[in-house]
Amino acid sequence: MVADGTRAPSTRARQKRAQHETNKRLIVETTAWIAAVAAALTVGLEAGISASATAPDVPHVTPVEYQYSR
Amino acid sequence: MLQLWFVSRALGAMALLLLSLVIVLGVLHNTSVVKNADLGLPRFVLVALHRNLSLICVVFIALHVVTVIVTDYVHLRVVDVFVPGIAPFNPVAATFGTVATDLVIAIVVTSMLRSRLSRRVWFWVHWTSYLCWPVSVVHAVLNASFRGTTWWTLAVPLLSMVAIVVALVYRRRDRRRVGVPLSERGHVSEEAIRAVTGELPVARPAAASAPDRQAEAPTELLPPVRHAGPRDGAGVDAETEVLPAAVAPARRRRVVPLAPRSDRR
Repeated sequence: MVADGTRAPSTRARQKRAQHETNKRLIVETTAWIAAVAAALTVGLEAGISASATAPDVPHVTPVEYQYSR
Repeated sequence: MLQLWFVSRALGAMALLLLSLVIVLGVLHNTSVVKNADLGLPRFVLVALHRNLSLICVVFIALHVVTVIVTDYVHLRVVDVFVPGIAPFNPVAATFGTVATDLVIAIVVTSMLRSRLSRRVWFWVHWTSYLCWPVSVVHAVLNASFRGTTWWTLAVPLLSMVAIVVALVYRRRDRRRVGVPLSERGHVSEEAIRAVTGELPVARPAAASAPDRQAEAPTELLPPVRHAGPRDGAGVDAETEVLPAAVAPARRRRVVPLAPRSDRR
């Protein structure tokens, strides 16, 4: 019994609660990491496409227009 | 605004990768990935990741759509993004993208209203993600410029296909329940009965097949037991000794009606 009259949680209950908190933190951290990696990959993809693109890669643009718009 | 077109393509490729990851998590959520104690990944972790990443994927799809509308090169209107087949630029590829967008919107809306919908409706709409993904892949492949030099972006749909195929093969190979042959269903072996009750049954239903029937010892059937009543008491004692607990007549329950409450308003 603890001071306020309720029963103290057992060792197994404490372990389960700690594991649950770990799992919740795992969800948040994994989501944040994947979002960050996705944003970085988007920037990298944009840089790669921009570096390797030529006039036929852009719709409705002639090679001369492409030269001037870059 | 040329960079906006490249940003739109990068966002679309990333949205396809995220969609593939979300579908992989959805495919794996009922397999041994969550049921194997060694992996230590509870089901709610996978489901929460599936939900969170799907929302991030929706954000990427929305940004892809907005940048496609805003950029000057493809001349798309807002209605072209949601109604299939009316886009002036690259109509076939745009139609696939439009269908994929509509399916994603339907999946997201039904998931948000899941508590108000029947499980069957939500389930069937959610299963259209298996249709949404190949439509998205076709959209990505058709929009890849084969005349230009950015053909290497085809690596994104290729990577997505590999991920989905691996997840589906894993799910297929991971047998969630051991199949019981039809002829064996309902048949309880004597070892199982002995393990539970500690003794063999006196009488049991007929065996399923002829070889089993020949292997078994002939079952001795007990004579019908007459319940001991007030009229014939002495002649029944010898028979009730065989299985006294099993055939004991159930005690009749006395029902005492309660008196109506007088203080009821």
